[in-house]
Amino acid sequence: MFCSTYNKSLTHAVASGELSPAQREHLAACEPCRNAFAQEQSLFATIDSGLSIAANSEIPDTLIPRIRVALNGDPVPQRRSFSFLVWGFASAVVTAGVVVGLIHSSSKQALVEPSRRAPVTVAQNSAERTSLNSARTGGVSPLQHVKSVALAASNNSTREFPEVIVPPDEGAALLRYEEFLRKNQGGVVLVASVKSLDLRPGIEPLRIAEIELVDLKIPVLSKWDSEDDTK
Amino acid sequence: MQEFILIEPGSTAPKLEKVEWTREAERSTLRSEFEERLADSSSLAFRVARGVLRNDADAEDIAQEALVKAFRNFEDLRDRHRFRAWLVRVSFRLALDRLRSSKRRGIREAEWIREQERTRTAESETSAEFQQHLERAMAELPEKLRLVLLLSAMDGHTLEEVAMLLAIPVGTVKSRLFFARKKLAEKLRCFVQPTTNR
Repeated sequence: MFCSTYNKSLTHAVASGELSPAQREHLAACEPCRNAFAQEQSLFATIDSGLSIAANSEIPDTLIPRIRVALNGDPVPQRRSFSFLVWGFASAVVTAGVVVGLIHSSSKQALVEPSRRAPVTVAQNSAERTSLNSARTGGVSPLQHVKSVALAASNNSTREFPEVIVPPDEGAALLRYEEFLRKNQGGVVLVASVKSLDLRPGIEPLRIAEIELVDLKIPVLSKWDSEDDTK
Repeated sequence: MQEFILIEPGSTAPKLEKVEWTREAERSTLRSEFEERLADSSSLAFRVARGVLRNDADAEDIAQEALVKAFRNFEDLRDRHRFRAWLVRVSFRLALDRLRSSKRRGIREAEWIREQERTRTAESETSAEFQQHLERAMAELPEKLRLVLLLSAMDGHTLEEVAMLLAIPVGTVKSRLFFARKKLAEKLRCFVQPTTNR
């Protein structure tokens, strides 16, 4: 162990291999420090020789031949030629074109599809009623009808207005549906979309008054039954 | 290695375009330049990798990989100092990557211990044991310190050369070396028998 005053500096000196004149003087005078210094030097010498062994390991004879073999199998390095750049640029342009085309066609399709779905206009007059009835007999089920209204109403981004073709006998059903939508918050969308409509002059939007729920009056069946029996 | 084409007297030269001729000549020049450096640089790459991996077979793999990479980038690495510095960095990185693969590490450790036990004689037992401790202690050093320690312990490397290889100032090399040796000493002190008082 070094003397306490020289402990740090001598430890440092052993590791760095540099001794100052003052340290030399102290070592010459102090035997314990000299012994400790010798021990430390021997430790560092052992470490250095071990390091030398570890760092200068023998090169295997097979190393260079196997590198040569690997190099022969490897393509010879070439400068990136002009043609490479041209091809790279061309392929990038083609790829970009294809991507833009795909995006464009898909967005166009998205614009066209909702307009195909949706009939508009609330029919109130008699002329339209006739055509309506024929359309109805053509097989549009009430369920499909409702679906188309809901879809068109929820799709505001396309600016296609919902066209609701309703025969008079379905008017009540539509009112009930409207009520149902209001209760289930879906009506908010429908009402909002109707408010934002820019209708052509002369076309009045369908206004739905507050709905009053009344008990259904059904005639007593027993009367009918008794009449039938008498016949 | 230079490539030559033999042409019989009276016959015409093979119909190669001028550009191809130039390219061929360039390739053969590159290859011959690379061959000149192969012996020297392969040992450098191997030793750096061996210092990290402590295994000859793995170090050989890494040296090969590093040199093949070097050949691919030889166009940009024709400067001798630049080439060696690049090779050291790449070999060290590749070796560390391989070392980090935990599965391989486990196998390697087991192989290494077996190899050590086989080669150990009674005389060399103490030194072999110390060497084992030393290499483990080296492996625990931070990467920067480890690389400086390895390169400066290699034959023929002065501090200036190490500084050039690592592209750092000589002062930094010195300080890293100092801290690395100090750390090793702290770890290995207990494995060295104290010398008798002189």
